[in-house]
Amino acid sequence: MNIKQKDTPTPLLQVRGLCKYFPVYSKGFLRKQIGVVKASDNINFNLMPGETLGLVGESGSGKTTTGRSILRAIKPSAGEVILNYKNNPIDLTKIHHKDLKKLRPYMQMIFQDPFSSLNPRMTVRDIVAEPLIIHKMAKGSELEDRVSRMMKKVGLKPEHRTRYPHAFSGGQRQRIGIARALIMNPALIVCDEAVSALDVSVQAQVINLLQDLQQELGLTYIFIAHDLSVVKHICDRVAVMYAGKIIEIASTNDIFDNPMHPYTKALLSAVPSPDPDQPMNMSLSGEVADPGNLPPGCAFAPRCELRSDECEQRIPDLEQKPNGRYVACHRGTGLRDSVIPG
Amino acid sequence: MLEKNKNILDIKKLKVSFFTEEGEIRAVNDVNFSIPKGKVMALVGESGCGKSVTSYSILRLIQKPGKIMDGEITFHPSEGKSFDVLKLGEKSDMLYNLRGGKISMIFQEPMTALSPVHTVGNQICEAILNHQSMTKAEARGKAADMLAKVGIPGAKGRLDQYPFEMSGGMRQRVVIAMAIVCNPELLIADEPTTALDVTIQAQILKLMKELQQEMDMSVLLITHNLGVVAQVADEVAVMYLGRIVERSDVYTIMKNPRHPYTMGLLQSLPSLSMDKTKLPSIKGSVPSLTDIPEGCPFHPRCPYYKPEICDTGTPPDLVSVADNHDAACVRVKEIQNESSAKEEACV
Amino acid sequence: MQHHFFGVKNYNNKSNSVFFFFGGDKYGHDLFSRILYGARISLSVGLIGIVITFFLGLIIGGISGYVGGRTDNFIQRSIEIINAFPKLPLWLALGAVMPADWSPLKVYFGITIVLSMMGWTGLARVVRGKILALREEDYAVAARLLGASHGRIIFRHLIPGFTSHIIVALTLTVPGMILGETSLSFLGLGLRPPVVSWGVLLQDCMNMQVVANYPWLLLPVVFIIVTVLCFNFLGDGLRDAADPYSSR
Repeated sequence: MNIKQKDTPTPLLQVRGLCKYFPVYSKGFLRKQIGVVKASDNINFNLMPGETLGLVGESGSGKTTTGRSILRAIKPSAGEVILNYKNNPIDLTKIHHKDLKKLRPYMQMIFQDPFSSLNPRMTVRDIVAEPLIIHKMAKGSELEDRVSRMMKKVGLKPEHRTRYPHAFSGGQRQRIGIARALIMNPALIVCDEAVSALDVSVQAQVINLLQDLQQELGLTYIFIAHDLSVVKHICDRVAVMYAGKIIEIASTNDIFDNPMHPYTKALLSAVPSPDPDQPMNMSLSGEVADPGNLPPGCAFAPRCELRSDECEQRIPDLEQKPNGRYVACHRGTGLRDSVIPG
Repeated sequence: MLEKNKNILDIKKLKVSFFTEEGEIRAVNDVNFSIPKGKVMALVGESGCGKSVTSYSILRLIQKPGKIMDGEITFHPSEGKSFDVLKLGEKSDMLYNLRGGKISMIFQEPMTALSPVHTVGNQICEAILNHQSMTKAEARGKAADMLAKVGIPGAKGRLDQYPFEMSGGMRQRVVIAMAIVCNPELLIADEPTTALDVTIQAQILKLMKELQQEMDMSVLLITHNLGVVAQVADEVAVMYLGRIVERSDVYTIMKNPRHPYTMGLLQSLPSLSMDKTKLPSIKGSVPSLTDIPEGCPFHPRCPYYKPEICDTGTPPDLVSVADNHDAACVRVKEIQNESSAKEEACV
Repeated sequence: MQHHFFGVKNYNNKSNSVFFFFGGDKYGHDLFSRILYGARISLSVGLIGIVITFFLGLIIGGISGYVGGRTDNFIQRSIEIINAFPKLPLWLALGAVMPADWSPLKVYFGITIVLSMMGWTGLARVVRGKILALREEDYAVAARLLGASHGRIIFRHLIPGFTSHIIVALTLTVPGMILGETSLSFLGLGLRPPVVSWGVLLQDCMNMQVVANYPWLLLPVVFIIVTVLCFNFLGDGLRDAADPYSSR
């Protein structure tokens, strides 16, 4: 793998044509493979160190599959995920799983469900210390010391180390999960809906914690979420996914102030605002596309008000626009005039 | 003379407890509120605040180990006399006719609210035939009309489908169709859009609002999503640890909250119109219902906490702070002065 | 006092007659002491049997659930084939394989192995199902992402999640083993006299005349029922004790 060094800083992560297809089998005894579900299809993006990239989409958009394929929690079907590991570009998709173990401390995940992501039969201390034990990074009093420091850092009391997860509330459990992910000093964190299961008042605490930790430790986040207001708050750039593909990727301000893809626009208008003076104004009809049964052209075409014949026949490519922005829409040129009236 | 009441439902001093191994859990503690006729009333709160339990009590759906300890839930139907739902016999016809008839309910998870082994058409027909005298063919026709009304394309053909053949949004539409098929006067919607995607949520909320206006229904909306509340509700009651802490119309609650909990909730919402700054948050987490703090239940998390005023005695009652605006906070006046002083200081 | 409580009068020319608490059998043996002695064999068959069952079930079920794919398919089909055999004829066939001149001890081990060979499938299925479910729990995925080895994931994260199920499945297998031994011996294909087990004791009750005239020979049945019930209750109790989450 030859990655040329340029003047610009090297991305921490380069995702190139990442695909994850799940086979579909016929019914019956022989179970022949009759097709694939393209859970995530041809995903491309770069991630700079210290950046937070939001991965946004509705159910079935493939955002979780993409996140897990990047960390190789599931093996991708095709594509490259190039991690810049101590100035060594390493393709995570090709690497043998034994070598993968060495890279694990470098990239971690925070899960959505604070109830199922912690082993109910292990104490907090065992959960937080486990990464260090697996990688033989610390022993004895040093281990206990690091666990205590980490627990303090995420806002847990070290004296609660001998308790089991069920003794904690949802927000505190999520802090335990964060402590487990951060104790090895990773560079890359994939937050898979890390705050969606939490109550509003606790959600704000966890968002603040994630932001503080990012500043303090220089973390890079991939923040998978369906809640756009949270994404706007925490992300530098946002990739919007629909039916397994990225349909628009741009800086957070561009996405939220001037969405170019009709789906992004619809998604933004669908968020109910807590201000009663800002009525919801979403005109999108129809159902979220089923990745197992996609139309031949643009997956969004059946719901799109601007569709043309071309949209129904040909899948649009992700095209570069000014400001490092990419949009996958045939109607991309002159879209602003036709979509946003006045 | 028929007495005309402007409320469809009055809840007074409702108390519901659950009896578990850890002792008595007071899930709903002294809750009072009214649902105005033809309006959408929202009950907001975080998990464990008792909002669902309150709504279940209205239909007497509380099951063991739960028990309604005390209170009155007076239902004022448009025809006939008002009556206390809690005084009806467990097996009485009145209660039977009430459930799914005059008052019906939509649940959070559309998959579990529908029976997986019956077709959608049969389930709607059953709801019709339970409460109205009709032939099966008429009921089927009405069911098809209902599906069309909730925006399901090709309604006739959908009647013979099973719930698993439909998407989440479609299923929720079916659930709504089932709930409104008998022209209920009060619709209780328990987190009706929480399990749905945002674009589908927007569609369903729009549908519910349209149906509510068209059929002149009253709606009790249970949700934790303040955005949904702002978009759909007319009146709002905020619950915390089994009590209502603030109640008013939606504008007042969202624009001018007076209880520190409501203020904290609204501030901790990341919003689309906000910049990337540190979110103000409420400290701590919601205490367990087995361990409700003494005095004002919110005092350990309250930024305006004053010792010996907030943490002793009985929990504060709802008191009127303005026209149609109640808050349960003893320091409500001082807090307003303090916060306005703070704002001035910031400017 | 009924006559069968007593042994033969002036047996061994002693003046006192012997008191047989449960009566005697046709050779004048005391049934009570034979039941007690028989318990040794009947109970230990069950206990040794589950040790073998435990290892077979855990290992085969564990492989099936954790590896998945074709291996899983193969193991599951094999289990189905084993389960599809009619149990009694298979026991009979396997019992008949054991040479008649084997010592009672060898026969005893033969029986336990035959019973365990049939008994592991239930446990294997429990283990496989649980591993399949727990493998996709977020905490198992988290452990994988931490770089934990397969062994660590299985023994530290997966198995503790269903030890209670294993204990229960095992305690519920014991009665099956005891009943299996009893049936085999009753049919004359398992243990043979002079070894004493509850099944062997029941061999005496093969015909109606015995049952009609000497009903006390059926007393081992009571012990079998009580033992089986006890193990079932034990299983239930252990489930409640080992799984504090089941009540919620």
